[in-house]
This record gives sequence, C-alpha cells and structure tokens, in this order.
Amino acid sequence: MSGGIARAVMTLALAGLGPHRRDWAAAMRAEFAMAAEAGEGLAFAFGCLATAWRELPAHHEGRLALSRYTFALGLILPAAAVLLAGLWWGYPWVEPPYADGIARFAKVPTVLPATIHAGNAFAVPWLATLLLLRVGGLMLSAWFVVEADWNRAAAIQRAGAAATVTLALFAAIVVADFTCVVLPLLALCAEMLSIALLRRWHDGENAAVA
Amino acid sequence: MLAVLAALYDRAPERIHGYDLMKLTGLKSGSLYPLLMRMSDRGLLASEWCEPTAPGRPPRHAYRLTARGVALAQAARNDPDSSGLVGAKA
Repeated sequence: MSGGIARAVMTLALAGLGPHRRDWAAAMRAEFAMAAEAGEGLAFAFGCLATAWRELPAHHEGRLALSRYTFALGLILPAAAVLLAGLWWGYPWVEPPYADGIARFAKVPTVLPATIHAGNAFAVPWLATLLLLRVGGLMLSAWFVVEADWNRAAAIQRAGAAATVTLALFAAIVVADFTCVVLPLLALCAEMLSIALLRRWHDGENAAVA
Repeated sequence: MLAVLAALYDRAPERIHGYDLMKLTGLKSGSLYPLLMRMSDRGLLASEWCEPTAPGRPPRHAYRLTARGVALAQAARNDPDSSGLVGAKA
C-alpha cells in the first residue's frame, strides 16, 4: 500500500522537476529504487516532492504550473465552494433576509415573495440540480486548468455559461427574482476571466520561449 | 552544505551515490537534493552516470567534488569561519 503511494508521490515529484532538471529526476528515480528496497521509499519520495516544489519557481514550466494551481485553488474552487454553500443554505430559493443581503450586494431590486407556491416550488429542485451541475463543472474546469487542457476547460466554460443563462431565465419565471443568479454569475465571471487570462499568459510565455 | 562537502571530500576520489550520501550525512532527500543541485550549478560538484550493478536496475548518478569543490572543502576544514559556509542552510 505504502509502496504504491510512494510511487505515486515519486511520479508527481519527477513530473514537477521540469526539463532542465531531467537528469536529476532520473537520478532521483534510481535512488528511489534503493530507498524503497530499504523500506524508506515513502520518506524519500516526499523529500523529492518537496525538492520539486522548491524548484518550481526556478523554471519556466514551473512558474506556469504554479500560476495554474494558484488560479484553480485560489479562485475557481472557492467559487465552486461558494455555490455549494449556497445550495446548502437553500439556493436557488433564498429566504428573504439572505435575498435582501445578496440584492443589496449586487445592487439589484428583489421582489421575492415571502412564500413560494407549490407549482413554482416544483421547479426549485431542478434549478438546484442545475446549480449542482454547475459546481461539478467548476471542479472539472479547475482540473483542466491545472492540466493546461484549455480546449476542455473552454468546453466546460461554455456549458457553464449555458447553465447560468438557463438558471437566470427559469429563475425569472419561477421565483420572479434575479437574486438567485448573482452567485452563479459571479462564479462564471471568475472562471471566464481567470481561464482567459491564464491561457493568454501561457500562450505568450510559450511563444517567447519558442 | 558543510556535511555534504565533508562527506565527498573524505571519500575523494571515490564517487558517491545519492542514497549513500544521505546515509553518510544524515540528510533527508528533501534537503540533500536541493543542496546537490545548487552545488552542481555553482560548479562545486560533478556527477556521472554509473552502469547498473544488477540486471533490471536503472543506472545511478554518482557525485564527486570538482577542483573548486575540493578547494572549498579544504578551506572549510582548515578555517570554517572564513569559508563562508558557517551558518549556511543545510
């Protein structure tokens, strides 16, 4: 079990070292075999991972990887977490005190009724499901950003934009209030801006290196 | 860095593998490899690939001090205060 974990950690470490340290990565791999034989593979692998992470800012690919992790962990995943927390608290059906707060923040009027009719309430779980899919989409998007798979990230973005527009249209009909699309819109903006900026920066850096 | 310099200097002209160097110095891989990389970048360390000792094993990197590295190790041994390595991070 720990041997498998050690090998996985070692793979991660070697992948993070970058092309200018390829010889060192091969050297570490060879010594890992010795450490694993002595039963110290896991500690050795974690040490190599620490080395690789320490080396990241020192090379071009490392800096780009750091930027991708920073955006994914610092912006896209928190946006997904905010949406998930919203769902937990009843989103897209927002109770009046919270709805007022969100409306004030977004500077939009709220005409949310204090109660919701049974017919309209039927649509709320579907809207919540849409929002849940959006959370899943953001998590996938973060993964593709980390992998620098821009085409898949863009496909997820398009689906996310479509889901947000659908949510806005149905929210307008079902609960007659746009307060419930404020968070998804903010998440969409954060995702679109960060991915577009990252992709542009990556393309620019790669062109400069080439 | 002093421990690595001393270990390599004491074994010169023998070359030492990374894992053996860990055992000799007591350093973990997370401390040893950044040091080795830095020493190599500064021209203090030379490395070469050694043929595997058993079939199915990958070739291993072995390290020795360059002339500059030997001079620094000697200076550090004779006068640790003036070598500039006292207080240097491991």
